[in-house]
Amino acid sequence: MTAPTVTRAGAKAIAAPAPARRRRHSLERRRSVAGLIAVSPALALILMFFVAPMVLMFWMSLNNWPLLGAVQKFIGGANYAEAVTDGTFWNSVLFTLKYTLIITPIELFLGYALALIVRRRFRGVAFFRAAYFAPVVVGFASGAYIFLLLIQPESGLFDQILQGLGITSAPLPWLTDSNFALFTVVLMITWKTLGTSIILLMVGMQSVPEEIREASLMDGASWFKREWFITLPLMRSSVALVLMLNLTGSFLAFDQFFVMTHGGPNQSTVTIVMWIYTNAFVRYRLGYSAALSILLLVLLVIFTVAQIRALRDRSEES
Amino acid sequence: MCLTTKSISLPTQLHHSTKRKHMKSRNRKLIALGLGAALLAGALSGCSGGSSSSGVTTINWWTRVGDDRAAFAKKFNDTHTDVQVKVTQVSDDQYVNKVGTGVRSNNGPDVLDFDVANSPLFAATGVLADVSDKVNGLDFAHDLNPGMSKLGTYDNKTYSVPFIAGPSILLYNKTLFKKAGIQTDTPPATWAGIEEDAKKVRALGDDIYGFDIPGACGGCLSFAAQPLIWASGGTTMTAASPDQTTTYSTSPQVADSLKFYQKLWQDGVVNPAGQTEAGATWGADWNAGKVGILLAGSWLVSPAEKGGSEVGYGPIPNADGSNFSTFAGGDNIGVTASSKNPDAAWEFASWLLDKDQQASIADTGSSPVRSDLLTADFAAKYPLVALQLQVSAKSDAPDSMATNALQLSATSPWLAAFQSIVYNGADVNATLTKADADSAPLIKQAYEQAGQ
Repeated sequence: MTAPTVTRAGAKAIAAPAPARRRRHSLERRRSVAGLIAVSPALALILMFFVAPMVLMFWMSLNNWPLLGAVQKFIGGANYAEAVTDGTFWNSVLFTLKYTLIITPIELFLGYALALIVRRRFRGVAFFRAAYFAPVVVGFASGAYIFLLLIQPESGLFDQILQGLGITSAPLPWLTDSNFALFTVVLMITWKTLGTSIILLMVGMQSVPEEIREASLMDGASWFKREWFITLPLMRSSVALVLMLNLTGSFLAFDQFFVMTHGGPNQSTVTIVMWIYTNAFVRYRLGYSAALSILLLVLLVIFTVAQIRALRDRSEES
Repeated sequence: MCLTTKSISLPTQLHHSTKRKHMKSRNRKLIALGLGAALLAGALSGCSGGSSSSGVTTINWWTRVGDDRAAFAKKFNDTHTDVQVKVTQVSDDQYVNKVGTGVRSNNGPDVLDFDVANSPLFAATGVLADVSDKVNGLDFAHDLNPGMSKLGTYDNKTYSVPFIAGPSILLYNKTLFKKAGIQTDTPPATWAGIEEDAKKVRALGDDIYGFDIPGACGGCLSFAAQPLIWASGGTTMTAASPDQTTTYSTSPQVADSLKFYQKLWQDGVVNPAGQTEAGATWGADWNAGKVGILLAGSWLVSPAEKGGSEVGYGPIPNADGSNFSTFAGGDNIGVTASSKNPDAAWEFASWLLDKDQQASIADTGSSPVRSDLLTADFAAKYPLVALQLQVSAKSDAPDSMATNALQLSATSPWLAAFQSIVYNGADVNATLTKADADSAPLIKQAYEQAGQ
């Protein structure tokens, strides 16, 4: 609490000996007041819908806070201590990391490959762009239900096609084997969200000035070299955006697993958010789930900052 | 005066705006939910006072979505002048959450109609008022559904009473039975009989199955698995109290029942789609006429008949057919402890139990909760409802304030044990012992949180 006071006093001490500066200072202050008024609606919304709930959530995490009943007891860090020894929570962290490490490269590389196809104008390009993007507008839960129908044993389209082509001879264990269940969800999510990555990467590619690519073409660079040394470095911010959206999206994965696997088989596909949900709305332990949410937030901040750093540093080097 | 549209439209808008935010950053999900619920409670606050200047008491009735409860409210409002009822439908997955927020802000409903499984929770956490004296004063108290009444009782006090019953029964597809050369006059009445008939039906074709189990849905298993245990004289847990324990490994009937299902699965007569059935499409293959025998609620009779199958039904038996049981499924009803008009609330709740109202439930295909309705005439007019009333005499249900965590949720120890044993052929005793060990902390946590 003392740090801001010291800074303000320090600022005054500097401003005091120069009266000429005072007018500029007050002008600045007036400007900053006007600015503050201008942003105050947004600020109020952020305070109300982000900061206040966050503070409340942190307070909840320090209490025994049941969903029902009036008992609220301050228990300090007990919820966090419990989280440290909560095996299911750490399993869910590992599983979520595994899922993130699988889905992110798929989104990036497959998205890049498909973006290459649709970045140029050609006859029928609109069809491909629309086809890639169409699943994005379907909700996660609806998409998951569509997939559930497609993978029904006996009647599901996937098995019928695979068996009709003679690739498989029996229904696949789409959701009954833990690795296969993860594969099935990854398949669904790829279908569902790849469109976003494609569009972002395509826009990134199109923003690379044509003359630079032409210059490299004149210099005799091969197609691969043009992509790798020219296009890719110049669209680093698009790549970073795709990576970041996928990282946060996968870290917060819930709907797809909730609908398709329910955390099964044998609780092998429980994600972090699903475990938070279970504690809040199945076990009615709001305090504990608030503590887990805070831990998830910390994890997410760490990973996102690391990612931003990694990508920014390299762009500064180049 | 409170506008109905206000209290209904506001939460909907909130829901949409919440959804949009949730796309951007889903870690705000819990917060947004909480805020949404708080604002909902705020929106309702203007309606909860009850009495208006005209001397009419308005009571709020919260009920589950999807059931036609508006007709009851309309009939009550048409026939009463001093008390009027306003219905709010709350979706199942939000129910406990909404009730929790409503009660916490002292702006909850006056009358609560809820999934009977939540009765111990709402009783133990002080959501519901003690209505023991009022219930004892009813001259038909002894005719009320026994399993549901048991769940409404906590610590020897009555907190909620049965309202609409949804017991489970054995359904069989007579069309398939005839094709398989099985008599269809009486349903299979022993476990051996079920297995034998299921095998014969399975032999009819590749996509025809003898039996179906909703294997990834804890709530469905209360209908489809536990009755086997209760009919055999077993139980899955001791009475609801802070000292409660699960009895998976100590009640041998649990192992017997699961071994029976394990055998059916290993026989290959069970529909494989059921292994991942989480409830949303429970009975779809049965409705399509592809399943011979199913343990489920009566609501799956008419869809199958519409699908072109002739359907028969009977009670869920124990192994040798000497006894039967059913899940005490359905809705209990109670008066909230925070109600400002408890007498008017009880007037409405008990009105719902009157013979006229209860008899009208039979017309909707659900089951009333009063056994004194069961006359010869009634049985002739409603044979399916009569069966439900008969089996309800021996109804039972998991009775714990932690039932959701113990048996119903996707991450519950009971569901995990069930799946390991039935589908993976896991060792029955070791798996059930582990399920007991995993359940103990959940019960402890639940009661500790409630301050007990």
